Amino acid sequence: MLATGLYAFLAAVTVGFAVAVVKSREIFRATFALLGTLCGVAGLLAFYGATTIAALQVLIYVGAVFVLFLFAILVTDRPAERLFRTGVLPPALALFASAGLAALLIAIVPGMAGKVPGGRIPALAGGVIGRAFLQQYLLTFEVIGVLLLIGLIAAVLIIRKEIRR
Amino acid sequence: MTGSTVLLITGALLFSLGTFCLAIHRNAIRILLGIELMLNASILNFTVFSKMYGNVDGGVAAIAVMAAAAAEAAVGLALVFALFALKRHSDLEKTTELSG
Repeated sequence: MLATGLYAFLAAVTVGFAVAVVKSREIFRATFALLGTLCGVAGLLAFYGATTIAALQVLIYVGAVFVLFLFAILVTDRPAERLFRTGVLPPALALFASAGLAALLIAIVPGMAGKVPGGRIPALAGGVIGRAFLQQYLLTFEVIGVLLLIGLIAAVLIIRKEIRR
Repeated sequence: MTGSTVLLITGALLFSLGTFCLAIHRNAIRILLGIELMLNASILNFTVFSKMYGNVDGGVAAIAVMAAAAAEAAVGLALVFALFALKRHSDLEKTTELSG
């Protein structure tokens, strides 16, 4: 009972902040709302038993990605761009499309969640994931490393070119 | 309602909100925020299915998605900086030089 309430609370926090990310008029507020969503997702993961992934979520998303977003906004902020402006799709059509997508995705959830008995093996303990990365998924681990290195170099190159101009 | 169901429904809602964000916004940073929402939904789903099937594959995939998201944010925001240095705005509707 308490567990259900806590799950519902964390899910409400996550989705509520995600709505604020989409609907806030100012980019700065939208980014701070993303902080709430990220922490809500981390809480859900931790409470679900995936503590390693939750810790990485806080470390990578809140520690790095969120700060990067704040920095980008502080550098590129202009008052004229702060207002809520809509793009090509009219909001009603976009709302209809994404509400339909949400209804479809939620409709197939019970069929998926009911099929498999939960928690047969504690698969998401930190040691299990670490061993998987160093044995079975060593190639994935190396590819992640190379991907991050290339991303870093690409980011520096893109910005340096513009500064020289 | 089990924890898996709650996490899957949260993931579905986050993904739909991400698509909504992509559809209605024109600012590059807000579009990247929508992509982050969708990637978070995928992390939730990978984790849930990993635990449901008692298999570590989904956990590995979730961490790989996180790394991809970090690289994407770095390169994407570098592109926003470059666009801003060039045009003094980050509005993708006004950035039409490469469109056919």
